[in-house]
Amino acid sequence: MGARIVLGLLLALALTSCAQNAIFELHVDLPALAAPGTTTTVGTARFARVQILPGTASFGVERLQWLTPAIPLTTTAHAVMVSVPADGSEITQGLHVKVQLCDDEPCTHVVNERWYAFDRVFYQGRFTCYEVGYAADLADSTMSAPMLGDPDTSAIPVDRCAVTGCVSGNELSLHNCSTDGRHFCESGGSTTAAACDLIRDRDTQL
Amino acid sequence: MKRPGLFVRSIVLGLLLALGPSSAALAQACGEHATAAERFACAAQAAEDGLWADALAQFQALYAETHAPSALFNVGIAFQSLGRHREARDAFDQLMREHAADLDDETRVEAARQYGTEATRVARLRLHDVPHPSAAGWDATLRVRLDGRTVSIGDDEPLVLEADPGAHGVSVTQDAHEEFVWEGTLADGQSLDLDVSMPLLPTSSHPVYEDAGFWIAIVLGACAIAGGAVLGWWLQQDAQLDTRGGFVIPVGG
Repeated sequence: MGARIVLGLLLALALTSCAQNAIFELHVDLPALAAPGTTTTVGTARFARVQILPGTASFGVERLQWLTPAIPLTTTAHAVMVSVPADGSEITQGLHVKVQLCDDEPCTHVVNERWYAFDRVFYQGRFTCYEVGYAADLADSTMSAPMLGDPDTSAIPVDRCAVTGCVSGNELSLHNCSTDGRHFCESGGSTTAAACDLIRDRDTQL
Repeated sequence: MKRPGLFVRSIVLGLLLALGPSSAALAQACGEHATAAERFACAAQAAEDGLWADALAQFQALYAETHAPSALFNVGIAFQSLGRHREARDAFDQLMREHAADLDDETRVEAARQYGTEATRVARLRLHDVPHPSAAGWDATLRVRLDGRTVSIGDDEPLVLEADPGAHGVSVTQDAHEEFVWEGTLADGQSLDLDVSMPLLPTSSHPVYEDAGFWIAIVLGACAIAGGAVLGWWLQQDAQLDTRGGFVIPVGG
């Protein structure tokens, strides 16, 4: 009886020592501030703001706790990272991301914004990441126009296999699913954050 | 010490012995179906070889079968040789009581002498203050054990326990009392007095929650549970992934 109790306690401790949460790291490449006297797609934008919403929430919902503060654009392009921890039932739901450029600090006047609807980004006990190339999109004439319509139906869909994670090595992959369609984080991929570290390292070089 | 001699003068047994099997056949002849002659020969041979336990068994079987006083005499001798003086004394006593008419004078004198010798070698433990069955407040849970065997308790005071010389142990137990234990070695014919003391065990006359030990156990148990919970929580927290900089926005809000 005593041995069973001890084994039960050890099992309970072993279970509690497993990570229950997941972390998604969103990297947003922000454009440079428009130089005075020039006309760029950035226009008068001086700040950027990122909003994270659960996949079940409408893009139209605005809550302070889901918003980053207004991030000043700088004279050079740079990247910001938003860490999104999740646990429990949040792990299996999707994620909505709204990136806005605005010309005032409270961001009441939005100059440009883009919407992203992620299929799935979280996997228990794993780091995952994704890089939004906002600056590159703005530089592309076919993608630089402000998005129109209802964000809930017009958002850019991001497939789960495009979310980086559970890959070791020094090369990033645009496709992070095995041949059976499962994400590497579901099929026993690397438990390290090595792939996301590559994106972090690239952020610092911007 | 003079080695005790066997009583082999019985004419009948003597003749049986003379007509009995050779010693080579004794080993085959000492079993359950041995004749009286064979059994006597076996017993005599075992005694001659110093195998007194075997000799005793054969003499006892022989006496049970023939009721011959010579067999009983030899039973006493075997007991004596094994150091079982109490049983040796009893054997010689039985011989004189039940076979007095069958014994010649010389044998009767020898039996009496052996009886006296053995009786003086029996040691006695005299247990004082052991409750008697007829006393008021007699508790049937009282047990007196000598060398682990329960002995009957009479009304005599003191309670006398006979034992052969050597190491012995006495215990007296009774519900709700401390056990009385004595262990020691008795010499030939020693008589030892023991005052049996069995104090009442303390009984709880108040509710358990009035006992400080109860609350100490409760507090220690609660601390153990709380400690386990904290340890579990700490391990759980320690195992979680930590954010690595940037803006942190929990998806749950």
